[in-house]
Amino acid sequence: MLAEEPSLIARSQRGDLAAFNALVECYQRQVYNLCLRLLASAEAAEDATQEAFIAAYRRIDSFRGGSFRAWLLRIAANASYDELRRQRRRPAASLEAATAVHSATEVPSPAAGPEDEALRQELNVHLQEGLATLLPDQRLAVILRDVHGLSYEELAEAMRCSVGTVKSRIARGRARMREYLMAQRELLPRPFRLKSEE
Amino acid sequence: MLEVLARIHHRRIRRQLSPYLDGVLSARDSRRLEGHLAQCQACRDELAELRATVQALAELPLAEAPRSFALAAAPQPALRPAARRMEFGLRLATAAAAFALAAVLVGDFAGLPDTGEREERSMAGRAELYSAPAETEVAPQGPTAGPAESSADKQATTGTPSLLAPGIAGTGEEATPVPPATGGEGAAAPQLGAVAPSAGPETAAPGASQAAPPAATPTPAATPTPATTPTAAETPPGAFGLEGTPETAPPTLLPETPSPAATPPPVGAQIAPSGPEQQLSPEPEKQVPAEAERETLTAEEGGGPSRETVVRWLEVGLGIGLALLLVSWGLTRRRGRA
Repeated sequence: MLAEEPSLIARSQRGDLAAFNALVECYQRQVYNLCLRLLASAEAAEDATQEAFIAAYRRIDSFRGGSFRAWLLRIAANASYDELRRQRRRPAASLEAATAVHSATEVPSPAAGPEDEALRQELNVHLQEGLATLLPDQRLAVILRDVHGLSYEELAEAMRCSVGTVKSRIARGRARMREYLMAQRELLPRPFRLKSEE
Repeated sequence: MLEVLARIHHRRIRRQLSPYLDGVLSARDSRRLEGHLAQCQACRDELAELRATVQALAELPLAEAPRSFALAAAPQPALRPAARRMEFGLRLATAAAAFALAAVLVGDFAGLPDTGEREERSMAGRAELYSAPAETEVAPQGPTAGPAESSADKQATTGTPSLLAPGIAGTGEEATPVPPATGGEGAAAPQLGAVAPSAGPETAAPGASQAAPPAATPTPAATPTPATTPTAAETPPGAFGLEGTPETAPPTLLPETPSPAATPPPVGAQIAPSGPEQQLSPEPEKQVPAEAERETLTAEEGGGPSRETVVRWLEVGLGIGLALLLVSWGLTRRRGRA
């Protein structure tokens, strides 16, 4: 979080586009990645991200304190769901079809070596497939918590529910993810197997 | 028993593994869970797998944003609320248009089964408070029976009294108590023709003028009674019977016969000057019949068809309006969503 975030938000609420764009620059990576995880398509994620920031600018007046990141990611999640709905109307591009295309979520990590990189990509694919098996609320909770590192309180804000509900969504989502990955144990990269078999 | 309790405890512990990993479990619950973990291999395995899953998710690298999502220009800020406000207005308008259409349709169908006269009568009856038909019927005695008959026949043949109910039912109810009272008075209407020669014009004239307003109501009221007994001849004699003047019967009966053939209001106007009996009525009538004529004429000649066409055009207009509303509503919705 930027130190000057509150003032940037206040200026944005007064219609200062430059201030808002500073916030965009700060959060666009997180917003884009959430959309990417939810949509599993780089193109759709790009559209959803842009839509999310446009919606955020329009609704910035409705932000009443709390975690700006949670507020923004909530808008991003909604934009992603809208995008999903739009995709479903176009039969060619469903979520299943999108998850079949793994390239979108294959994020290269420059620090790793080529072998590690291949393993990581493989795990990435399995994780994305596992996430796709979750219920929407559980998927969002797990992504926001484990991928984006939001606190339970932030999650409660972003998902507009109680911390208790957040806890149960995360627990159920993780349990399902664990079951999915364990079922694919043999297919998983070794590092994961070693970790889980410790 | 102990096994069941252990299983329940085990299940509860399993649910706490996720918050335990995140360190959001209370100190007491954490201690209890750790105590259980020390004894339960399955839970230790599960915790390890869960930790590996969470770690794998946490290690998922974040993709770089493919481009800057900074806004080049401020987007229209009030598009959504405006669309929503429009939507409300459109819904209101749609509801109003639908209601109006329903009203027009009901009004149209209520008058459909008859050709013209019935419609006019009900229309005129509703609009003019029966003043117009009253005069037409009072002026020549015959016409009272004539229209009554015709209307009765029509009602009987068309068999749609319920549709006409709004117009006539009210009058019928109002009139039904009246007929006995006005029967005497209404009998004054027949009297006009019969007593006219004997009584002075002055007496007859007030009689007519008095009879005019009540007679107005009886005529629509008369429709239900003749409906049961289609022979209108019965009712006039009954009226005369009350009067107890048998001689009057023929003159009144006579006008009855021509009445169906002759159009009521013009006849009254024509006969008034010519017939000696009718000379009584002219003065009180003349004021009223003048209007009556106009009304009945307009009702008969122009009113019926014009009303129908008006209704048709109204329907067409409302249909177009509805279609436009629906289209614009759909457009605003789509725009609002986009």
